[in-house]
Amino acid sequence: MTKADKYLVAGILFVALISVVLFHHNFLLSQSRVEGGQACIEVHGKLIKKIDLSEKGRKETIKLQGVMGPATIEIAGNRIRMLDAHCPDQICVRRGWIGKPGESIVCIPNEINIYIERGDMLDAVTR
Amino acid sequence: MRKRRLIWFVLGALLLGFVGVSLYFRRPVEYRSDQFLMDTLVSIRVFGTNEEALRKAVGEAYAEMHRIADLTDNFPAEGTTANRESDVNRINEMAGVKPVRVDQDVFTMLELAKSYHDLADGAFDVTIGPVMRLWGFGGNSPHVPRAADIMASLVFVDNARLVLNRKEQTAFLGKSGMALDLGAIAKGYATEKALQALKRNGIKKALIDAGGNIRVLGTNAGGEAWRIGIKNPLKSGDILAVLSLKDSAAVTSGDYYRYFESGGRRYNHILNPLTGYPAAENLSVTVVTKDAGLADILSTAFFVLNAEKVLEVVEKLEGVDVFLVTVDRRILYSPGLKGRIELRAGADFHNDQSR
Repeated sequence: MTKADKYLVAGILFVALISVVLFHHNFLLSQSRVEGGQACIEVHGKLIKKIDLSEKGRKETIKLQGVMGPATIEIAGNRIRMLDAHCPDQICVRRGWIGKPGESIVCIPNEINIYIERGDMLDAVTR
Repeated sequence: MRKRRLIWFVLGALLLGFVGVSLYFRRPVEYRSDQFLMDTLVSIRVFGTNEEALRKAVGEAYAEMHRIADLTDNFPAEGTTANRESDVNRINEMAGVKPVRVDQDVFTMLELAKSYHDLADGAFDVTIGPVMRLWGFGGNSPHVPRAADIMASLVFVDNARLVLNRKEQTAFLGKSGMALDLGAIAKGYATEKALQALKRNGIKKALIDAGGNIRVLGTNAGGEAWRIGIKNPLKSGDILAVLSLKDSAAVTSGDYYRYFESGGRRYNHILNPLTGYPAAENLSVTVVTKDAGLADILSTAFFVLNAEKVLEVVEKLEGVDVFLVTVDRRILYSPGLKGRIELRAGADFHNDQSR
């Protein structure tokens, strides 16, 4: 082995080590992202807001414009609900608080979809 | 000189190999689009390598769903009282008057509906329209009708008087006052149409979620079977079982999806066509089969029937499986699901499978 060969071997080992570390780092990051309670709010099929429900003592109301009229969403602790909405059936308001992964509030007339991201690696749920 | 050529050759081979490998392992792109239609939230997810092609395919899939929705709509447009100009409304308006020429897809849906009416001993009937109207399902103020009114409206529920003429491609309701309601088939049929549109556009991996009606194409992004949860009918956000599906549809009918409460009782929107009252045999019924339209019909029909009868019918059907939860909280499923289902049911339920 010449000196150049040794450098080459060392270089390759170094690159390999870095890739393993980066891969694991990425992997861990994506894993932790799946956990935590993330609430997503979509209007007319577009994601407009993502809220981290794991933040302690969070209290907030969000006013937004649905397809039929205004709506107010309330966040308290790690739960979220439709406080009021301009829609005829009020199904979304009666749904009450949600907070568990996979739960959702859908207001069809206003085209508002609020859901908690799932952490269970399911692709979908039939219901 | 020879050495140099060898080096170039090796470099060239390496480059080709690199390009080949990176093409092969090209990161699949996911394209997702959500739309509110057919009174629910529809979500389409497709996987491929060219985002532009994915976008075009999904656009065509939604166009198909909108087309079926327009043909089958039997409610007035938002904010008006006038019925929409749909094939279903035209058939209803011409009930007892004359046959109506309809779109090929509407004809196919009606033919399917008729054939499964007989198979389910009348538990599935698209002529349920008058009774649905009486209960107010689909409108804003559902209520419990008087027993006498239900009896009277049942006279207009008569699958035998839905007359189809394949040659003329016409449909005719034999008595004035009869009305079609394709609510139990249109969404599933439209989902299947959307999936066929994706396929025509060369899509190999896709998932369509039409308000909980699921249709998957191929495998998921990781090359494995799609993992589809079955909702716990008693607990929000909870899963009863997980299905592993490839190229299949899973459609669930439940008593929790559309209902109203009156006098401390829950009335769900799936009516037994023989009695005119909401079905009360099951909490939820999930049908797994290739075609989303068929899955939609069967989940509604089976929801009305008792569990033992359902399993008996399923045994006779090729490629159809069922998972059901009865009102007394028993869980049953057909043998075809073994190896494709993973139970997660808690103590609230009684697993009746080990019979």
